[in-house]
Amino acid sequence: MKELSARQLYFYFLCIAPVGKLILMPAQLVSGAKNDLLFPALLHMLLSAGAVFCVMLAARAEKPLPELLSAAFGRIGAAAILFLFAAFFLFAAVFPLTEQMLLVQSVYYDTLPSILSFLPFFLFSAYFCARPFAENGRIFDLLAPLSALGFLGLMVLAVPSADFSALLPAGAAGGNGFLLAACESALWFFDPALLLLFAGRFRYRSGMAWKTAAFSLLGSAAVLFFLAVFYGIFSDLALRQTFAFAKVSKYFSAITVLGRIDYLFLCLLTLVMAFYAALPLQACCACLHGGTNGKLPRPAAACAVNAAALALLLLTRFRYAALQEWLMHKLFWIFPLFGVLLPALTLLLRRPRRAR
Amino acid sequence: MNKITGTLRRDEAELKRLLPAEDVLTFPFRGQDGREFLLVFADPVTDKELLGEQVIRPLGDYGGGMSAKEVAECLTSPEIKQLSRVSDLAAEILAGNPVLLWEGADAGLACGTKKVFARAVAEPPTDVTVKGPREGFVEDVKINCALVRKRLKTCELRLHTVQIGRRSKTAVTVCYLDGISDMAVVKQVKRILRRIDIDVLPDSSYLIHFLSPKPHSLVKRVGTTEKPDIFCAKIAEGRVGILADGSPIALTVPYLLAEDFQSAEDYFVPAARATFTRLLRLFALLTAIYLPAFYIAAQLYKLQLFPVKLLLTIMGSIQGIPLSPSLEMLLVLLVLEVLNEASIRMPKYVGMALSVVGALVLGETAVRAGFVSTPAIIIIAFSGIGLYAVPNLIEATSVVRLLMLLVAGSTGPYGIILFTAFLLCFLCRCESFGTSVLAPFSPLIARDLKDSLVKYELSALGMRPRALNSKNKRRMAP
Amino acid sequence: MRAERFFRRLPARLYLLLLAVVVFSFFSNDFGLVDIQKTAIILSAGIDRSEDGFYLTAQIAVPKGGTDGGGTNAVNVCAAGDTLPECVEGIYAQTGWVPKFIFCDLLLLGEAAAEKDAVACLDFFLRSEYMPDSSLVAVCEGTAHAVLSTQSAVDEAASLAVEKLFTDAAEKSGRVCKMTLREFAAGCYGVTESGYMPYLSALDAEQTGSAGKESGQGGQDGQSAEKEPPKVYTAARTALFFRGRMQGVLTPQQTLAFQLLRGKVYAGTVTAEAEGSRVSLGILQNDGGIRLDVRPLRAEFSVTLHVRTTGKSAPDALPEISRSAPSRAQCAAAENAIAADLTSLFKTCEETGCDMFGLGRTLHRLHPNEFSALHGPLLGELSLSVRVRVFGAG
Repeated sequence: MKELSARQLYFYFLCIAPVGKLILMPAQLVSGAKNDLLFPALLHMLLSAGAVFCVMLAARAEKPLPELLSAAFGRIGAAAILFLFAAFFLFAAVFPLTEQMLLVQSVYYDTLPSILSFLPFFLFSAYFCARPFAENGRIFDLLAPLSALGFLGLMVLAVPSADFSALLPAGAAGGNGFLLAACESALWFFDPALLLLFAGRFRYRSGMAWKTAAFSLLGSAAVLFFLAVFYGIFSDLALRQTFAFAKVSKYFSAITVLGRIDYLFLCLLTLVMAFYAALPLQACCACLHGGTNGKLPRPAAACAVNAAALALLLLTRFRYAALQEWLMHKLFWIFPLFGVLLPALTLLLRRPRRAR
Repeated sequence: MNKITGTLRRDEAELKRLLPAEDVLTFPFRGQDGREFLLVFADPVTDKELLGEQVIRPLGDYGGGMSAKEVAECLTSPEIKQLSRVSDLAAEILAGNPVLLWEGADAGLACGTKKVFARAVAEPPTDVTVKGPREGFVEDVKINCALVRKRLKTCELRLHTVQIGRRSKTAVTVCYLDGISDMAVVKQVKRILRRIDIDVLPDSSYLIHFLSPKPHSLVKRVGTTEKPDIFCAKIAEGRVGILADGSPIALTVPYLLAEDFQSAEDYFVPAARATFTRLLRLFALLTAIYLPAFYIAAQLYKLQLFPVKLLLTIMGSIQGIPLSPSLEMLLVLLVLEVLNEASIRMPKYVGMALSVVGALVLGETAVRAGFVSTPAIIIIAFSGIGLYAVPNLIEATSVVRLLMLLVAGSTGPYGIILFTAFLLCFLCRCESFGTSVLAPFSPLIARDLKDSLVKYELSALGMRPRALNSKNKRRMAP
Repeated sequence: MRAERFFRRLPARLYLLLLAVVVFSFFSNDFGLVDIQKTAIILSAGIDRSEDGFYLTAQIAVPKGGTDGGGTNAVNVCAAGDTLPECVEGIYAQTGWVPKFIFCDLLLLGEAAAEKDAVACLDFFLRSEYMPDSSLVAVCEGTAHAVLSTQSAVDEAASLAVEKLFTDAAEKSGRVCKMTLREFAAGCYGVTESGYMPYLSALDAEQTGSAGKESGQGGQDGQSAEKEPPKVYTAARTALFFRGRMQGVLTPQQTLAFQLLRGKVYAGTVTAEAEGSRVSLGILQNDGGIRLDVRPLRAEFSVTLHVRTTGKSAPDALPEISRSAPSRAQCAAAENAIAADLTSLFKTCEETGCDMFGLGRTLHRLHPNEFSALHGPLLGELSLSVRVRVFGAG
């Protein structure tokens, strides 16, 4: 069985997990918190980092999640929890997929194409999901420099146009704005739940827990910097700027001469985003595979999960407002519960004896 | 049991029964004391002059004992084998080693006087360097082994030869450095070779099929080279090499994708120049694969990828072209591939004329006639040249380029991104004898990056690549 | 066993099926795509208001065909409608080309449209994901249709000639205040509700000077038997906006003063009256700034220039010409002229309510309490001090 190394996990939190927060989240934060958009994001990031720390401590047992759960709740209880997480991952994947679809249709096509332009994603996702979760380590090694290059390139092009004083005055949105933005942005923060699936797939070394949490915070810092640049460029117009990362760099002066060279960096980030959007689906497959004790083959799980995701996407295609309402106002609590709290609570699981 | 009987006529008859071909000849002669000797040899592959010098002449004066050992001592050939089975003797005759029989013989003697047909050691056409050695492997495995021995004068060099092919009995030699190569890989290679059961092994590329876990995959799992200096350098890094008789292409395992971006010349020029050249190759390859695809995707789906002035120039150029951009590009690509294939196959004396046809008629005239546009020709021409910046990957990259074009024309820029993601995923899973093909990028091995797409100075390359799992990690004193 | 064989061969069969689908879609190539030949690349758009709606003039690029390549003709296509999307549909219906605004680099508002409501005109472009908000915006004298229909003396298309006025190099002369759609919208939607954009005028080119290029215009708006004389364009004046409506226009001197205040002038010239003649001082370095004090509420405009004499209306002796450093009197005259321009600039902004200096925004960000305590427009409650220093550099 392939193992992840510590470096690969750090790469995931530093370079890959942050990219999913660059599309619709900035504009959503602005709608609630306006110029105080950094604060609700920071809250989520700190909670996530804490949960990552707890999950890493729980992973010291070097046992995969099904085994950890079986030791604590028995086989049936473990299966039930895994199926619950599978449902959560499928649920959590809907909005990122919608985001991706809208991003692709807007940024990569001039005239609005049909859903067929996004269908190939599910083919790729099915192939990706059929792999074991632990094999993602090598992918992370490849994606990390691409993500870093794309992000840095975009920031180099974007920062000259940013006026950071637009973030002032701090606290103008008040407590209500802060809470509203925090609720509306909760659905983007569930990386600790994904980390659970990596448990048992790497050798725990001393200090890995705080290092992973530190890298998670570093990645979050990059997102915060991006949010600051985003608001610095658009200020009062930020509310209208969906697909934030595709827009911040086009004001660089060389663009008028060379054309949209920033598309090179956008493509790199979109490449990484494709993997990030497929990760919850892969996690869902892994949970189903673990919950059925390996009886459900991964390719079958991959096909079923992707078919379900596609169905959900088709269902919500023209109901974006309703989707937003449900996910951000009515059901937002599911994300901190499954994405942060429950993963953190794995620290309390009774650990099986580590095999010598 | 077909052992020789000692009765000359009966043994001769048995050999003739096993070897009825007309080019298998017999030469009876008598020794000093009148005893009869018989030489059986395959005429085309026997060096008769050497045979006469080393076997017939000494025996002409021989009057000693009748045992094979005593007769062998009389001969002056350094390569004498005693074999008692007629089938083994027949095999030696077919290998070019004449067999000596006599009345009362307890064994036959196979004499190593084979005629070696091989072209001269010259620079290989597929791997040309400006600086550095110009020797290349030839079709004879013994000469190739000699070229390897010339460069690795160490007792650690092991050459293990097996015969593969029921009818061709091709000699295949496994070369490795004991104490440096990963013995697990060596054992695996030997095991695979032993299990090959095939009629004829005409070339080493057949071995690639057996050595690759997924032979139908586009991704190479076995490295190739025609140059002994590269071959020896790879073995010295910890790889295992394979030489096959009849083929100038040597194989090396494990294979890393990065090695195809390296050239021998990188080690003979300053490190900065080598780094620049390697990055240039990567740039050329990526441009060759992606440029036609992005051109099509931009025209069909996302015009904004072009600067506006370039867009207007392109629009002016494609006015009146009857085909859609994607079909036009596909057509030009196919024409280029046909030209490419024809230029390899055509006789040299018509090469010049057909080159003119290709360049003028298919290029300029087609544009003037309005069949294809100038940008398409330029892009495909650059793409065609760019692919040959990494010639070892040409088989795979030309297919990938075509697939990328199909994907771009059908699904647009996002399709290109997804296909790239799929390729990355796929490459991450590919392994060559336990080593990831994408090493040292995935898994990331920082130490090995010093000689991958960038090249550090020689003083920084004191350790063998960790990806190859060599036992002896240091290759240069610090 | 059979099932095992089936599943082992399944991936290869799936790949083949996928390849067949891709090849089919490659050759059919129809997902609501628009062929490049059926696309109208709109280089610029002019928006005018009519009695009950909008009048859109789109200048569409028509590439010159053949193997020569290069060069652009432009065609104007106009349509009217209650809203701008209706106008766009009208253009589609007239030409059969799908209009694409992704290369639209210039939005020109007619005077009437700007006075009525500029933000309403620009709303469509702000909403559209396919419209670059880095495109330039400007107001023109008269109607945008008239300006875009003129023949330019310096370029093939009027819009391309206008865009040349707003290059970074042109801005460095200080004669032009460039404005993009994003920046204008940010100002109008911000706390100051203010904005500005260049005010464009079309002038007849000199008969001897510019013979005029063939622009190939015509098409939808027809060609008259007698061609109009070619035009050159100037954007030395700046239109001021408050709450989305044009409230006034700055003079060229006020525009230069504003640019000097922003420190954006690197190759401009300041002309002043000194020692009985008009002297032009070339600007070598320009530093400018605005400081806002809250107690008391006061703004300080400061401009510092390093200049060199580049010409005079009256002849000078050769030693004077070779020296090129301006005299103290000349520097003082320039200081007075710039200070007067800055003061008049501030007064104009105060009268129109347009806070083009961003003082309100600064106050809101740094001193939100003081901002909330304002009773009326900030500029009316602010006192101004101006500090101009001009240094000669020989």
